[in-house]
Amino acid sequence: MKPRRIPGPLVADLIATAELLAASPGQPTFRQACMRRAVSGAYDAVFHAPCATFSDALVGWSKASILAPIYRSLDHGPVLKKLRSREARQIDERIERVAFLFGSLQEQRHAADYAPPSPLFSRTQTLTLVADAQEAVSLSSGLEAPKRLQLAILPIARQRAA
Amino acid sequence: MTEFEVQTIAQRVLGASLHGTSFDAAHVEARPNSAGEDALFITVRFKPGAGVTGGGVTGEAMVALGHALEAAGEHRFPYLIYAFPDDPPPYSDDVQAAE
Repeated sequence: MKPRRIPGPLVADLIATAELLAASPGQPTFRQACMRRAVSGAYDAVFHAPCATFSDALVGWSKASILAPIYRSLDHGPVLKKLRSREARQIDERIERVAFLFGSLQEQRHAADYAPPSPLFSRTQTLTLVADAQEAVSLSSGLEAPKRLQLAILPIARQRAA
Repeated sequence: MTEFEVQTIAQRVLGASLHGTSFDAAHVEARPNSAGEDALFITVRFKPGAGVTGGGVTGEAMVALGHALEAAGEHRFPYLIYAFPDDPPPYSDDVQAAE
């Protein structure tokens, strides 16, 4: 069964935006602001990728009116925790790479968004982080539909309290 | 594990995984991450002339490093920080504007 690309244009557009920002000319402080936004946007793409694929797998992208609660239910920390879990690794070995890239970009995004003003990111460093995000998105979109569904269930499944 | 022990593993594993990318050296710093969890921050220094490294290569390097550290009993997450010596300091006048 052929893998289905990530539904909706947002993820691809976030990567494209990050690439444009990373290449921005201008004054040094403006460029640093662009680098920060590029890193933040690259991480956003990686986060929105599972939001889109999981909600598509569980509900169906065409059902836009009822998709939102599932799309919005995913949270940054729990998604990473599930991607790094043994259950996720058992679904497909590519998920472990996604998890490492996701975790690494999440930390960089935190610095980009919240660290005090400082020269955090250089251009090649930023472009390499964007490439990391692109890889995580590509790996996610390469999963076959049954594996996407298995993975989509992990963040929302809860064990019954004893 | 001590930072030196982690650095020894990182230098070996990243040297193999990033072969062909002009990888130069790894430097390890142990400190909490943004969530306050114990973590390892590994600066991956590239040689002059190194360009953007593809995500496929870095992704595999991260997994290889994670496995090697786990096998040695280390469970802190290894965050990679990329350092390119050719990049002008982020706040400097950058004559190589986007083309």
